[in-house]
Amino acid sequence: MKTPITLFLYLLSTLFLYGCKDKEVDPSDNFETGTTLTAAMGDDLARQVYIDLSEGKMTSIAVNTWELAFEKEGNAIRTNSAKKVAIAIPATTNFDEVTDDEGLDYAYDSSDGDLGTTALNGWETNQPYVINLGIDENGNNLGTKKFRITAKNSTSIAIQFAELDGSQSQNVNIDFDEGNFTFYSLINAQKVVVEPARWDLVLTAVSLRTGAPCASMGAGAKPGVNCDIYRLGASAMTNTYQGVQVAVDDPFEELKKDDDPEAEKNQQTIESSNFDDLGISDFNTLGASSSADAIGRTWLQILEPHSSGVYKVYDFITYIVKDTDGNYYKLRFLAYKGGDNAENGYPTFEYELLAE
Amino acid sequence: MTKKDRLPYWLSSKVLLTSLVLWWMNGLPLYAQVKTVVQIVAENSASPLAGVTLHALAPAKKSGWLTDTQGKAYLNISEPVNVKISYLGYLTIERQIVPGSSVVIQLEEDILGLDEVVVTGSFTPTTSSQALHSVKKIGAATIEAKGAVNLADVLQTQLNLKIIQDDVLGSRVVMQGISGPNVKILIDGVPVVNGSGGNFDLSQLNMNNVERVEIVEGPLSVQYGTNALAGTINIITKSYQENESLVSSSTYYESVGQYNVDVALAKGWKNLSVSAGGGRNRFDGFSSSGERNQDWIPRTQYLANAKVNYHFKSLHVTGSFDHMWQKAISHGDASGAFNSKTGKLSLIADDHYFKTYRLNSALIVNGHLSDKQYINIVNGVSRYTQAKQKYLQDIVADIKWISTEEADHDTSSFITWTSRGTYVYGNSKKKKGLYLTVGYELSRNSAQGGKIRSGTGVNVNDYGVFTALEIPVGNKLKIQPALRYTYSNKYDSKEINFLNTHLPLLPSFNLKYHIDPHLDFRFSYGQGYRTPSVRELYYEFINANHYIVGNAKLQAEIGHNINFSGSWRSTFGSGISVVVTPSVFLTSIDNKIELVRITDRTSLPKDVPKNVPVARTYANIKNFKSFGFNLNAKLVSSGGIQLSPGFGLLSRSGSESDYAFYTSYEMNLNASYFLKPFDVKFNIFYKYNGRITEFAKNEEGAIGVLTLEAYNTLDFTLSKSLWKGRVFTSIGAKNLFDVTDISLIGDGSKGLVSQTGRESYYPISWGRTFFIKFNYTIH
Repeated sequence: MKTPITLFLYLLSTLFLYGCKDKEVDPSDNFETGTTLTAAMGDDLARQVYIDLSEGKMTSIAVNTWELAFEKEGNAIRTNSAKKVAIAIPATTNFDEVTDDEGLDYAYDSSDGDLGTTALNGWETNQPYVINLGIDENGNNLGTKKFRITAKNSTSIAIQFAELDGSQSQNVNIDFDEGNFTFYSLINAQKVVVEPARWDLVLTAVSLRTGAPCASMGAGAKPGVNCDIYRLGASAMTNTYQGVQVAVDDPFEELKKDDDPEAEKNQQTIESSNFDDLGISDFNTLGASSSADAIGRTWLQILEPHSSGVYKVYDFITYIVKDTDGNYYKLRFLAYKGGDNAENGYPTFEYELLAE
Repeated sequence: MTKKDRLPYWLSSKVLLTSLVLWWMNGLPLYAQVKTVVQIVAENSASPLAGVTLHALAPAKKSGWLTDTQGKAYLNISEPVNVKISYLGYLTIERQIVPGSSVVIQLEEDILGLDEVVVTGSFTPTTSSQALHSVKKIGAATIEAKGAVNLADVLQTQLNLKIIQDDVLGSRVVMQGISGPNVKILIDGVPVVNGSGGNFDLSQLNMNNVERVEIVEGPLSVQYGTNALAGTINIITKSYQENESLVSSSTYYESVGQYNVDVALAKGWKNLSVSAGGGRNRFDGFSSSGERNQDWIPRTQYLANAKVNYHFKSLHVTGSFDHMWQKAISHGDASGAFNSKTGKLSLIADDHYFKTYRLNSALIVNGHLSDKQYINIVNGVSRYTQAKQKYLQDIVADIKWISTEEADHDTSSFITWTSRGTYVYGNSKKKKGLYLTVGYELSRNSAQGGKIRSGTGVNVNDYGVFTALEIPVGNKLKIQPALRYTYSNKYDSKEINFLNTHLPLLPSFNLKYHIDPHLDFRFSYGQGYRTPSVRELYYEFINANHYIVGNAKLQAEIGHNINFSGSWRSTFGSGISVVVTPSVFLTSIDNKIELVRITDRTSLPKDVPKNVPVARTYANIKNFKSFGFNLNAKLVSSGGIQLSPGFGLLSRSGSESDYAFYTSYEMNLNASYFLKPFDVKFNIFYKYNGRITEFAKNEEGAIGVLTLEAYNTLDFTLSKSLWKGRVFTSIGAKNLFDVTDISLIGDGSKGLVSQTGRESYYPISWGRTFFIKFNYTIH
């Protein structure tokens, strides 16, 4: 007769006291790393982070502060690809005749950072240009303006810019700064300090095609205009202007980048990295590149479904970087997610000075 | 299990009736003339029934008698008297007793539950067979036999009902193809406030203190005002009897990882009964994919309730409190990240912690003021508060920290105050003649917190007065026209536009035609409405991934419903009773409020990322229509077999489908067998859910559909009482077909419930499980 009570009380106490711990994860996933830097671009990629490897120093600049950058030594003009600034060339050469951007196709600086393929490559004096000022950190369009370059010499450049309806027209003479490029904000009509004096690479957004197919739109498809439009993606651009060179060691070079989480390249881990073994001699063996996008976006791959925002970081790729001071560093990206709130847009890389 | 365990509410009303009868007997002179003996016996066994109530009806003499242990009552009557004879578990009958006679009367067992009390939708407590609405009942016995923990478990195998699971918003009900906000949820007649999601999370309504669940399909807007458009679910909590003292406790284990315990205490005195209870429910969560991100999130609930019931003459005063605290964690999937706290490469997930508190409290006064006057005043408050916090969880280092983004945390609270009073004039004891009901309802709804647009006057208040008149036409026909005048502070109730008069009047009409004891018909027409909720008007949920906002320009939903049902009963020779209930319904709802996708992203405010993955707002859908056919049967044999098969057809249409109809089918079978020699009951709960399609127009006006595939659920359980009824156990297997996720097919933008993401499946269940429940009661 006592059995049911005993049984009952036993069950009662076990159930009441029952608690369960969160499942343990194999701690071997934990990977020891050397010196690291995290570039806080933000999940909206609203900041550009310049990095000086020999100082281990990062300089963070808000993206939405400039539209145009003028080359001091040469004639190149870069647009701010980190916020989708774009240039259209009207048919007329009369500045006052430009009143809208209807029917015009916008061009973007190419994401490889090559000064020969910028949107304003081959610009001409007094040719009016329509500039799309890009987007802010929330994706709002910042509007359009028109401008023309009225004169340029080795110390300054003169431009006229106005709203498309001709209002707020002004002529400004921009004296070049010390650096290789002088940055200018058409929105605020002022020069902006962007690049630090010394930097080796910059983590920045670049304007990229989405890669979505245009086929379904038929003859009306205009890639980059009404389909396969531009979006922003994080990229690591090197300071080729000051001689930064990069050699790449990718143990899985032959595998294709793919957003399918099951793709073979996405199965590879840091365990396959040659980071520990690589030395200065490999810089030449691997073959160095002077392209600004030698690192670029090779270390990062978004996975399906894109809406989940899960990125695979190719931490098995090692980059050997010859910096502006002539030092050699080996570098590998470890994560894209990071920061205080573990968000995307916080790329973290590990780097190490290579001894001669 | 004894009948007393199964039907305490019913019993208490019988006891009440008995005590009333005794009170009249004491208070009135008895007519001592010629001795008349009536013996009451059970029809099947011919064994005498003690304590049977005999109540004199006509001539109108306030007299009553009780049978003794031999089943005999000695009547002091001088002329023929019509006597109503009633006894727990047996069908009430009326007989004429002639003075000086000595008769034996057989009572038929009420195995179909026709005499069981129902309260939902009627203005005075009535019985299933007398009610003007068809009321579905799920009693404590079924709840126990199913091993149901919460309301979602109870409703799972019902026809016309679907339960859809969401990882954050919980279990939501879809009734007759119409989702959550249009289903009014009541506890003892008091409206319960919805939760964060606008839909009610049924898993937050626990069944451990529940006597029965009553369901009325179709609008009850005259009675309950806004929201009661698709239907009403009324949860009747346990009431204990006077002079009853007990300690009861139960434990429940289910193999998916549910561990529940609860305890209840009750003590009764002459006019007073007090009960209190509490419990803890723990659920470990479930994910069909095995991912860290679970469709069924782990939670722990703590429950506490108390109830005081006092009666003064025939007036009852009931006060009750019901609290629930819930802690739940929605785990995110972890992905590779650099932990800035440890300086190490790791796996980090976004975890959301939810702390939810519910309070439902009521003060109810009801009873007869006199023979012809009945009042019922229900005052209640229902509160829901949810605090949400986002943590970052490093699953490798096992450390967590709170997000520094302010927008990641918020606390929302929703409160509903209700006061509803009805006064009924009519001879309710004898259920004869006209009944006039007048009543009022005040409902005040407010919301505040992180997700409600600040600076808006966030009260939505509804006020209504209503009246109903039940008219008998001859002996067999009863009709009841009813009308509600409604006013809302946030919405122009004149849009209800009663008969094009621009008056805010809601009509309903009920008809019951009782052809003979074997056959009756019911017809009902009702107009229902639903004012936009505070959430639908002023919700504001904006973060990196969501832009979901209310729409202050919403109009109220207005619906019409026609329901026609019949009920045929028969008893066959060897103690087999059958009841067959066919019914058809037709519903049309204008301005149905739904969550829709925002397609024009440029219309988003400046500070909202244009590429936000989820952008939604509420909008009125022009028209929604549905019609359905149901066929239910119940077969009960005195040999202990009960079979309840059902079939349902539901066809839905409306402006979103260009009035093309989408039809779905359902079937269910509830069966039980009571094996008397071993005192064991076997139960089967089966339901077939046919394919069901949801439809919505996309921005180009094309109709997109999403179809939920068919699935079957089957539970098998066994219940047995041990040790002289003190221990009651049930064990069983749930979901024997091992259903988990059911696929969604199609390109539609809208599912059965408002989804915030897009998945190709609905999580329907957590697969096959086994459960065991012990209930231990000391009287």
